[in-house]
Amino acid sequence: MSAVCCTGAGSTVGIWTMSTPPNKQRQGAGRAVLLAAMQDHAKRGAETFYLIATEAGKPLYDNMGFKTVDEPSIWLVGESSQFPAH
Amino acid sequence: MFVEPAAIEIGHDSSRQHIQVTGHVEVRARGRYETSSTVSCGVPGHDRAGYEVVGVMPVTVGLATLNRRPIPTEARTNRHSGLGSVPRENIAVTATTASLWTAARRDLAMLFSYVDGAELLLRGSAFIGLTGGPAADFNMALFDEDPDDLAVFDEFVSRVKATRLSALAMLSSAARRRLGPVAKAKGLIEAGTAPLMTRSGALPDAAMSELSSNELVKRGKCRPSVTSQRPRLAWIGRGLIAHSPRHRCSTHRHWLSILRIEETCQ
Repeated sequence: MSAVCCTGAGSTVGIWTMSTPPNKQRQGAGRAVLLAAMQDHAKRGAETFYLIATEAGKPLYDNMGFKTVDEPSIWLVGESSQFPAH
Repeated sequence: MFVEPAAIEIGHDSSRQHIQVTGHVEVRARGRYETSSTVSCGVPGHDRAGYEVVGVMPVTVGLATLNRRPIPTEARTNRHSGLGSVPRENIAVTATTASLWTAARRDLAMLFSYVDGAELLLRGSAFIGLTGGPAADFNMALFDEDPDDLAVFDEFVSRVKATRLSALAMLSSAARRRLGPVAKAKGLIEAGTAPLMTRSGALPDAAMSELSSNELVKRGKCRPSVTSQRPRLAWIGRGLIAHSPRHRCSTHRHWLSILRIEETCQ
């Protein structure tokens, strides 16, 4: 229902493919999963987490204390579920 | 940069070409990379006839991607010889934007390497990962500023168009100045921005209890599940599915974990 994938080595951890179906959003599941994953990796030495946010996910990450350090642009060939062309 | 000694092993045996920096990175060749562009060595004067290979990288690349402070004199002066060493307790680790992009390339390469048949390319400050998946999200390239990024970007676009894959290119704000106009000229559609965000510092203590006390979990409709240590990923329809690991590798310090709340059968 709600899932997150983490990658990394050493003290820097990447957070990818954070997802919650639309009908299950805004019930705290995404936040709970993400926090649990981060805490799990913090216990193993993770100090810094990073992610590349979608427009839909950014409010959650803002709320959890993530800070924007760059604004990469997305360029598409074909279709993307995360970054629909405007 | 931080420098520390490491054993390097290079295997030229055609059946098992590989390079391993013990404790940091291991890349195995999967096959030749077909390209019409010139192949040259990054070290001046060492050019020779050869070919490039596509790498499979179940890797650890950790310390070298971080900006470590302070940098002692001996580490700076020996940075090309690999002889510098710094007591770990004297090192403060800070992630810069550049180091986060480096980590992102490394991690995407690792993540995509779990998909059977994925094509991966790490060159300079660019990453290309093509899994053949049906949506652009898993056929992607990531570019930070690099003098050679134009050639890699051309290669990405050519490969994507040849295979007719949906794909996306992510250009850091530094790379966008050079590559944005090129992307537009090549017919790519700009689809907004995707902020690179980071967080350091202490986490709330209640993270796990927040998970177990989530209303959906408490009502018995969902249960938490963690998959870690080298799962296999595969496309099923339009979904990327994680399988449980078949084995664990204790010699590799990298990991990939997937934590999810699953709906339970009612």
